[in-house]
Amino acid sequence: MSDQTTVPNTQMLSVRPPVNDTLLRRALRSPSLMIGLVWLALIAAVAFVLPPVLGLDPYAVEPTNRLEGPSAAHWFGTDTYGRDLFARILSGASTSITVGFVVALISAVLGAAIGVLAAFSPVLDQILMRICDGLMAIPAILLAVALTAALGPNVGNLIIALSVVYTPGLARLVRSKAMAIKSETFVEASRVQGAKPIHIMVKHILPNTLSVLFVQSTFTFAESVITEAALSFLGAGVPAPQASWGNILNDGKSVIMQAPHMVIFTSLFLVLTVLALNLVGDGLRDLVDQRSQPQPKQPGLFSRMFGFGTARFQPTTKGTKR
Amino acid sequence: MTDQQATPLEIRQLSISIDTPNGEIDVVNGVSLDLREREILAIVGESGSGKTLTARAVLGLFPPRSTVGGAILLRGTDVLTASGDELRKIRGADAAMIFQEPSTALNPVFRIGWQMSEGLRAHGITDPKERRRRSIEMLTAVGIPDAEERIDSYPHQFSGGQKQRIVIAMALALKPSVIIADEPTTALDVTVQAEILDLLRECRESFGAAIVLITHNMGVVADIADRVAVMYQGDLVEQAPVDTLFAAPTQEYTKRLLAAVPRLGHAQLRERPAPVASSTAAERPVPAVAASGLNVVYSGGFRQPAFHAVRDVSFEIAPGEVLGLVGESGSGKSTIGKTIGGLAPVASGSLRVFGQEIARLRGAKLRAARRRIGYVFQDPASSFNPFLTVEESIAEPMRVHGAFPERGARQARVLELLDAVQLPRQMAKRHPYELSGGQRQRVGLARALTLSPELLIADEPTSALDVSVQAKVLDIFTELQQELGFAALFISHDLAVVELLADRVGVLQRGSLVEVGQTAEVLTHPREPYTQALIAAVPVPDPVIQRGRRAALAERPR
Repeated sequence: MSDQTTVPNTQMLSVRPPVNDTLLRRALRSPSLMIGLVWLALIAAVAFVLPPVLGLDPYAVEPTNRLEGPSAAHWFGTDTYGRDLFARILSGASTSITVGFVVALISAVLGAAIGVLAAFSPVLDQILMRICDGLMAIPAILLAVALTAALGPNVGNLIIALSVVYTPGLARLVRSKAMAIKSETFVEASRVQGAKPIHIMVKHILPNTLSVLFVQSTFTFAESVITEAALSFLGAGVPAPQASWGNILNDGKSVIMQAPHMVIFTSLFLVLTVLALNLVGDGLRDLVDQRSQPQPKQPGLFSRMFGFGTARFQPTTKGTKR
Repeated sequence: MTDQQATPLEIRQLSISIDTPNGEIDVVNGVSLDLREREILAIVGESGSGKTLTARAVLGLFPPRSTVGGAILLRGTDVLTASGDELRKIRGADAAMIFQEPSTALNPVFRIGWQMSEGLRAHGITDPKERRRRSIEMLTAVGIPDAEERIDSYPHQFSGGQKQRIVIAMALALKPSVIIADEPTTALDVTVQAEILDLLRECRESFGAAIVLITHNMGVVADIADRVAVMYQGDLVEQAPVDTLFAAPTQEYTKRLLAAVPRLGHAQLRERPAPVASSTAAERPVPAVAASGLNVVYSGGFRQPAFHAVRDVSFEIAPGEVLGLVGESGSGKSTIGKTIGGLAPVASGSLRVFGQEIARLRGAKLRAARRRIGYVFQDPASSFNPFLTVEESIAEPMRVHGAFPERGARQARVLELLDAVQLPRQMAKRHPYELSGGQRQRVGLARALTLSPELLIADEPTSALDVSVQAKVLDIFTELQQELGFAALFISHDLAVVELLADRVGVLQRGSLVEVGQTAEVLTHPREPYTQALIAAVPVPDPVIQRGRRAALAERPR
């Protein structure tokens, strides 16, 4: 009976994703994810690389050329002090991306830690979740304004304020996922083996919550960029000489009739960046959640560009062939 | 319905293939079957054999991205070329379906009366009173007591067996000539299963329906089927009347399939050395588990009564002994296993594991006790962390307890365990989702044995597996148990499986241990009426014997 061949093979139909269908290939097949990532990479590269290369100075004042339209010398024109708007927008991009990224990172780490701890200890759960409830009860912008007003407006404090605003939501999410994972059999299996809680948290619970954490962090990134712009617009964010999309918009608001290019170019960058982040978030969610993409679609623009898997996809004809 | 001469159902050269990222997979290859008037045709096969896909095709239900060829004639109408409107007319009126899991086939937020009349409304019965009258009539026919009142209940107010009766009533509502029953009893206990099979038989007798029964349980086939079709990997392997098939299977696969089915009362008595327990009480070794007057109560939470899962249970497991626990769902057998692992609270009474009260152990002592216990779980799908490889899963107990501190030693131990459960060593680097259910269950066994436990708790380890795979896993279990000599608590609802493995058997009924004794004695000469009923309800995979038993049961006053 120990002979392997006596057992009929029952693994014939496996609908699960095949082994060679790596995450990278699936990512290449998702157009929204790739478009978002390409735009973000582009803007990050331009914001951090171009200014030193082209010698763009966002603080150089040319009082004679105030509020000029786009020209060869100033691609996007100049602002109210005659500063180069292109340089200002790129400098603002680096501020926005830095703030957004650091806030997303901090709130993800804190949120994961709080969420997993809360899922494990009923006492900590009550304490931590009530604090989160309290923070979530206050509107995000109001809380952020209050915190920056109390701490003083600079980039570091802005990051702290925004992290406080966005951590509770992530903690909530991680907690609910951790609760679900905690009831899975493999956690029970680890417990009856005599594993300590810290082992279970780090080895079993945390890796299984990473997927939702990643997706939600991307959305937090997008929201932080918007909130940072809003706070700077209100004067509670990045202080004046330093560039930020929010304070450029504020400067442009007063001269919107004479020099609409200030508001138009800045808004365009803000909108496109947030859109790109949301596209990445949506794409990641599809990638992580198998159910939301039950069938492989036609190969996407990007997988065709990179030459993956075009051969075996023919349009399906459902019907009889007699 | 116009063509009365036509057979109820004729499947000609049906083939289905599904387009997956791996290319096209043929899941059904040229299957031809026909169903005669008032016949029960069983389609048997293991998971992935295409039996369900074939049966669902009769109702025009196909998986997404599939290509279909052949013809399915339902009373002369080809289902495959029928338009959406025609299909809707056919479904329910000419052919109806009974689903596997009654608790998910009913929508929990609607009253069952509403759900039953849904189908009637779709088939043009507009008068609400008429719909209600018909629904009550069907509920009464399937044996729901007080149908007049129960029709306004919600699904959760019925038991599993009653829910399946309601699903059958829904299928019968329009008196279809063909009923497709997809594993109708798999989710039910044996005693309930016997009742549902009786009901299906009645459906045929009083409504004249022909039934296609999909199942993997050869006992059910022997009990109810007139003809049997065996499928394997999308092919129709063999088709024969039930007596012929069981008495003289012609195909190799059918023979193997029948041989793999454990039969109650046919297990060779295990040739094993008599337990080393010496006669004098003083020298008796400390039992692995000793329960006396054990009670387990789950606290009920907010405004809900506490649930008394285990009542006054007393038993012992000697070192090296295998105790089988059988009982229906909700009888508390899994709870006992969990309590031994320290996962469920002891309300009162005593439960000693290796001589120590498990409920009083804390911290390091509890960890030390758990080190001596291995656990195999029921569901192979959820008992592994998808982020860990097979090697990491098996090595986890060693990391937890700091045994085999060097990496090399750990790896060597993992490979040794993979050999022991007869899995190829390359599997170590795989992830659990790349393994089949049987392979995963063997990995589960390897993980439980990592630290050479003295006690193994196996909670329904084979109930999610196909029979041939189950036979393999049980073989490995028996071999390892004899080789390593650990004591085991083997929990199962399948009496035949327990008979293969256990030295002694305990029978649980609603939390109480009604009978415990030597396996052969309990299963062949049960003293308690409950044990007798349980054994009588298990269908024997032999149509001749089963017919005799049914006749005997019919004579006995209920």
